[in-house]
Amino acid sequence: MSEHLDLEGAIAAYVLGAAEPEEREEVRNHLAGCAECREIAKRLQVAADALPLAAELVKPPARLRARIMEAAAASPHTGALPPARAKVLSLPRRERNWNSARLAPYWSQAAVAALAIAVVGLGAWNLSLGRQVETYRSQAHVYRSTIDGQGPMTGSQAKVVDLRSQGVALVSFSHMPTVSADKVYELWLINDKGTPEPGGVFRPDPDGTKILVLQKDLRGYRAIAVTIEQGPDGALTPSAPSAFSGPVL
Amino acid sequence: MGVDSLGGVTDVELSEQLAAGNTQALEVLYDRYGGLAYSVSIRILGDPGKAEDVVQDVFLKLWNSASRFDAGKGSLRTWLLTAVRNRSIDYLRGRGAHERYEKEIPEQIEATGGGSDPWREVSQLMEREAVRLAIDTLPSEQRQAVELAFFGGYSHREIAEMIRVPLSTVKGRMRLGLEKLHSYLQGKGFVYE
Repeated sequence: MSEHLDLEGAIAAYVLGAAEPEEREEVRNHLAGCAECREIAKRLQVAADALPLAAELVKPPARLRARIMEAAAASPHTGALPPARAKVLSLPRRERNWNSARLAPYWSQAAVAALAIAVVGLGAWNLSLGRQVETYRSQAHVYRSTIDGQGPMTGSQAKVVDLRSQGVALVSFSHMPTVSADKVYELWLINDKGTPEPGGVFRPDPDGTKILVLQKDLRGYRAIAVTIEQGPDGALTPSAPSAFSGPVL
Repeated sequence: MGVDSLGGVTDVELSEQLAAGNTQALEVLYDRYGGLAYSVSIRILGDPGKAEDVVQDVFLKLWNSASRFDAGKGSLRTWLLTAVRNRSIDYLRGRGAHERYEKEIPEQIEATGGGSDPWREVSQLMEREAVRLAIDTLPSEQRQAVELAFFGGYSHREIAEMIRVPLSTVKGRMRLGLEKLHSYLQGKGFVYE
């Protein structure tokens, strides 16, 4: 029992690659025979596997792609599997889950609509794949801004990711205070003329976060703002002072 | 099958094309994950030149052994990023590399990736934002333990000595940190089981 507890305690280090070599072997052997610890390891491995995504995105130099392709061309390929089946477009389960699990109803519909448009338009996307590949090469098509809350919203933050190549933008809110049951937050997109356009309404999750998907990029907008409006639909023009606002690139 | 017809394929299908020796699949794979892979290596090494070497090594390793990759057991993205992380740590710590790199390809729960290119890119952005938010929510001592292990390549004993706390405390912080990260991502719909 004590050995079990010792090894269970080392599972986190094991999945993080931080166990000592001998311990690693002991944990590996233990996992082979302990279903309870395998469940723990499986759960912790999911978390560990997500950690690389926390790295700040850095655009690799263009030469790296060429280097890899040249080296691959000069390298004997040992693959021996038959060619793939005919291409079938499908959405992975996880992505479908997002629509129901993560976004407020308004945004769920918007995201589903965006997704449907993306899927329907996929033929066209594939036809213009050269442009898409170019897009992937150029992280310059992604614009990021961070906006900090002011006054009573101090501590809140909105991270804006403007994915212009795809015509969408994400706004990731954190540390948002709760609003009363009859109120909602409303996002406003401030255009070049200074006119606010409704960007959507939301209520933060219990942990104060919310990620919104805008079915448009932010070209032509100079700022975003958030107000608290009457729920559930919000307003067509802001009826309250901005809870926080800031420029977007 | 050329690049034009590969842009929207799933990672599983892409791995099959790699195994079949389709170099255009390697191009698409790089366009899909090269930036992430390079970013992970830069985060660990802080050296663009070495990071390039690491990413090239890993992509070539996959290319040369694609037929052994079991897409039913693991995510291509996870395999790549784990390999980049391990190889970068080996560089960082002057280790002799490759043995661990081969052995520690994680057993995953389910293959991921796929879908249309625009949606994939959006979904990856959302996932990255969620992971960053999740890590931000961890108590600083848990975050420190997890990051020193994962991005610093330190063993839990080394971390315990470094920050002068008992080994059991470091183990507990790692465990709690990963459990919270898992719960957060699951709550946000990024984990399916």
